[in-house]
Amino acid sequence: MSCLEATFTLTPQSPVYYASPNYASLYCYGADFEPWGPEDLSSLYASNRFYFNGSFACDPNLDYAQWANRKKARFLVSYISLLGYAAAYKQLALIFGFDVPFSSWPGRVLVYSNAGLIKDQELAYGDNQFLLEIESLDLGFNLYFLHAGGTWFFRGLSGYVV
Amino acid sequence: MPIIRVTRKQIEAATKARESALKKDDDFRRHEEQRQRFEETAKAREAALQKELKAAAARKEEQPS
Repeated sequence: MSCLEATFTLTPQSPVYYASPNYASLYCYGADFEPWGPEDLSSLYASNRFYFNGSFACDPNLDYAQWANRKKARFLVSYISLLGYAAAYKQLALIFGFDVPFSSWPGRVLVYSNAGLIKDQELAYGDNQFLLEIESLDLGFNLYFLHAGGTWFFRGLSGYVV
Repeated sequence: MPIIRVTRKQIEAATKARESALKKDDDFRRHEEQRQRFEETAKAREAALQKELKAAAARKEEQPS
């Protein structure tokens, strides 16, 4: 249980936050589903998750700051503009939630901005989140999460303005 | 828990890179324009929903118990 309520939580079923002028959204450009559970479409909808199959991961050696490369990969992108908090010099703690079903095949995401790679992040089996600390909110920004390996589920993005 | 720091400098660089890509890459610009249209629709829908919820809450408060 968290002692602080999230400012917003973006999930597959609830991908938009808007409290004018603050806005955040989540897009998914390519995820997978199988004919059987828990990776079938109905189960994924019910559990409010996206599924990424390791066979369709992107090549981690390409530069995904380039749209021509990025558009051929499977990725999530979040557009975040919290300009209403900028004057108060607030920061954002952003939690990326995930599940990894197999200990032998950890997930991997490349976290990108439009300018380049921020972090090549392993999604470890038994773990379920990682944290992004956003230093400044006086500009809107995009964060891309490219599916770069392993089999994993995306659960959501929660933002805490602090 | 793994922690990734995103600095103000990185956000500024990303803003510049995006502006540059919008100028240079027609396909990216089309994609972004389409996304912005979606976002305007989503914002309008969300604002209308919030207005409706507020009005419903006000009506509920006004009802005699």
